[in-house]
Amino acid sequence: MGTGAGRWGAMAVALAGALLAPLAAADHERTVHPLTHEFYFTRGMYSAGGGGSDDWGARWAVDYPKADHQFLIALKRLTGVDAYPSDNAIALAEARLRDFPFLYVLEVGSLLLTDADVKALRDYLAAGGFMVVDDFWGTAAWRNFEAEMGRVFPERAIVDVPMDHPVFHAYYDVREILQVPNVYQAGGGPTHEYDGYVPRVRGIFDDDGRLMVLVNWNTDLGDAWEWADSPDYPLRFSTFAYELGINFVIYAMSY
Amino acid sequence: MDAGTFADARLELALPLPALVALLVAGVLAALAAGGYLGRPRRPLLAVLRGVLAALLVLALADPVLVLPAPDAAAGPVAVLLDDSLSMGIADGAGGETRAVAAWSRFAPGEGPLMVELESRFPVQHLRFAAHPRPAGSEPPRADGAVSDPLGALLETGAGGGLSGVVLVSDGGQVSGRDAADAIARLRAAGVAVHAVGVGSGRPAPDVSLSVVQAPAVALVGDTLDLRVSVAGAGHGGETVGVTARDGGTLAGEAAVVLPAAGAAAAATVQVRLDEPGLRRIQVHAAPPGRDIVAGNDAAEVVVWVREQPVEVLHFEGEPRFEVKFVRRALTGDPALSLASLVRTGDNRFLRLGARDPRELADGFPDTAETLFRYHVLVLGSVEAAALTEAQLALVEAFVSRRGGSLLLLGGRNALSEGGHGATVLAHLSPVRLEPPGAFRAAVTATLTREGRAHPVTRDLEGRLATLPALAVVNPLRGPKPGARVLLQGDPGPGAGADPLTLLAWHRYGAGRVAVLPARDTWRWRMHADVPVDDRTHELLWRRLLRWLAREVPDPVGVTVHPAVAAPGQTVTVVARVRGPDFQPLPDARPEAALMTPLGDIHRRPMAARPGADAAHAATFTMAWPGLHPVEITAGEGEAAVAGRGAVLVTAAGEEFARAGLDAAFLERIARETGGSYRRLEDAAGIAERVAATLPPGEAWRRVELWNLPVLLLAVLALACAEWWLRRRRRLP
Repeated sequence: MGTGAGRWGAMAVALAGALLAPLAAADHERTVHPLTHEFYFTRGMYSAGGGGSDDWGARWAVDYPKADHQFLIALKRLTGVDAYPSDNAIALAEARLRDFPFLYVLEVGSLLLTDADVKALRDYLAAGGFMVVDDFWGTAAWRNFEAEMGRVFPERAIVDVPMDHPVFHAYYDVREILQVPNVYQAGGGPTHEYDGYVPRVRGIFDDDGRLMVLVNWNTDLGDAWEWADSPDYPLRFSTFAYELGINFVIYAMSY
Repeated sequence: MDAGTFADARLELALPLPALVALLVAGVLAALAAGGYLGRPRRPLLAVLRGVLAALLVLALADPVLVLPAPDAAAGPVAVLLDDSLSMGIADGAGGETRAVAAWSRFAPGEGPLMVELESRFPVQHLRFAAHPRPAGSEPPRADGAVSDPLGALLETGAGGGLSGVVLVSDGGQVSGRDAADAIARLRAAGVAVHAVGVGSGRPAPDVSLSVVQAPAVALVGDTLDLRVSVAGAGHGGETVGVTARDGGTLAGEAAVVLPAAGAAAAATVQVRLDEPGLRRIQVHAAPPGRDIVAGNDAAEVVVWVREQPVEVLHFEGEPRFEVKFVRRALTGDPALSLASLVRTGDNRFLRLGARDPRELADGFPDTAETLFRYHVLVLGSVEAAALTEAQLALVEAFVSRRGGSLLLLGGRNALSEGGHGATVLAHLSPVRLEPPGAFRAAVTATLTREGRAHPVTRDLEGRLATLPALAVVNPLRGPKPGARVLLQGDPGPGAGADPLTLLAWHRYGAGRVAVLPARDTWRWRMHADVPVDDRTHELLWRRLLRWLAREVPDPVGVTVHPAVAAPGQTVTVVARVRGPDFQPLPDARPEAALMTPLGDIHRRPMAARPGADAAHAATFTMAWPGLHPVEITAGEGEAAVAGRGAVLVTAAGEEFARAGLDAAFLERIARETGGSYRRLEDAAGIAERVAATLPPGEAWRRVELWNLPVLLLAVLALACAEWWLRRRRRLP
């Protein structure tokens, strides 16, 4: 979730994140999956840069774990995916990450990868892993993310994904890209944060033209998943977020 | 009639010799007495004249008959067939002479005692042969020393009419594959005995010979094939022979084989990589380690059809699975495999991947033979029994048993027993008994079985497997059916029982194959942290597995050619078994065979149905030119059109040198069954006598009555006149 709702809102969210993240991490430590399921919604844990307004602590854990749980409910309900019904957060540099070919990372505006993270992420994606990036807004966040991904794939550009790409049609036919606002902006008014006025779906492709990294910039699918059960959150946005997310999963499991 | 003829002559008389002597004495005495010569010694000359005259008359009365060899009368000619095929150029004579020279030195017209004897007693036709008999010296040596053909042709051409016998001088090369029984039967029926003279040694030495024992007829682009060769060496025991295989001049594989002692053969496998599509001529050559007197048997050639079009693979999953993604990635860039994936992503929702046209798989899993049988391999993943109708399950069975396709069963939560297939036809198709759903195994480590170490799918993976992560098995299977081959097995870990799990097994089912790979997530062999990013074991295993499953899957028209390697002048038979797109036999099809010569000419023949055969049709071609001759069979029109292909390789030497030794057994068989004789060249003396001995009585000799010879009458008259004149001169009465 972003910070465009204002200073107080941002502080409240930061406080909530600070309180919830250690609990989530502790919960993660207790979870050792026997890999009985086909799909695990795996959230990437990473280090974030300090200082400035992006100093949110455990930024990887924003919306965690409710967004994950709710997305999994929808995924199991709407598709035939044999999905593990709970969350699965793993540090990028952890070897176990390679047991899970689907990875969700968000709030990458302050992403700060260690050298171990860089190597782990490059190997993960080269081996066939698929990473969905979400919830970062504006030029500054983009620059940070682009710089960090440049360390992972110096030779690969991040490019727009055309609307006729299979990722938009793997399960649902998605014909336009909506800007999904955070929960505080969903009630009306501007949906953007910072200068992220136009939502983009961009990607990094491998040598065979397959998507390795799918970047949702200037949009916040995670909040829509998390707050879809709220009567105040517009169905239009949550429906779009779930459709797009399910497409990402089906694509990641098939291409 | 020369002196030789009389040397064999004998005199026959109507009277026994003692009676003749008695008659002679009596006659002479009576004549002398009648002439008044007895008791008058002063007339000895007259007495001699009278005595000789009387003796001649008595002899004439004894009906003397001179029995002579019959050179040109009742006995017909003898055909001397001299083998001048290429194998006769082998220099395995005692003095290093070639077989042709050795044979010619004894059987050249008018040369040597054997031919002198033969020609003195019979009119002789000198013929040489490679594939067909012809007058000696008319053509250079030719390939294909098929002995049975010239013998049969001898009777057909008329040269064999009235033959007294055949002297066959040959090394017994019988390479055409045509049965000599027919020629032998016809010779026997014609009463013509074959007297065979064997030339050459049974096992030339020093020599290395190579033959291809087993070679696939069809391959895919990029395949590595196993060519099974046999290498034999005489005089090279214990030495190492290098074997190379070349595809169009490019080195495609090599192996080394140590020759056993005593000329025994050693088997070797040459792995040949084929990267170019089309009909490929693979030349396999053994490099002799030293002197080699038969160069012609060092090499062999086979034709492999490398499919120009990729084979079709259908992967059906009943739920989204990472296996789909990673299998597709493993096959990306493989020019030989076209993978269509059908994934049921949700209720009545299917994701199609790799479909070639909008209609393909648009209605889900195929429900007709025509739509399913277009594929060569069917991969069934986590698909529960209820996802397929009874008719679709029956089609799957027919896909394997009738179409000859390959079925690969994967593991998964809805696969095999866990998917309710213990009660469907998949339980019959599976090479492993489907057990009741068992405990989930999270970590099964794969190991190669003994069979797996030699199998083309899994060989040389042992080292790699040891470093690969364990797999999850949802469908624990343990009991391979009789006849199943287990290539990979899994250690389920502590407390899971002593018996290993089956991880990869296959067996034949009807015309096709069924394999089972019950692991749920082979993708871990690509993705896991223990696997280096550049490791390609997962890709290698899947490509090998699907290629191997697809390679022998037949086309609707199955084509076989007999023989596949022929010599110029040889007749080959092309046989096609024609089936429709649903792979039901089409006995009423009217296929056409088109053979293309190396010159680009196309010879078309309508193929005739073979009575009693299952939709088999045949056509014959006589091969004229060396080189590769593609054969294409077509039948039907429009969407019902089907096609198949084969090839004939015509080589100058054919396979003549494949068995370069003297085939004494074959020559003995011809001689024995036609009533003739067999000798080695060194022991061929008396051939004329043996020919004569096999003729019917009275046909070998002619009888010359002597009593009415003019010379006898003249002698009698001369003696009588001489006596009369002398008596007149001496004024005797």
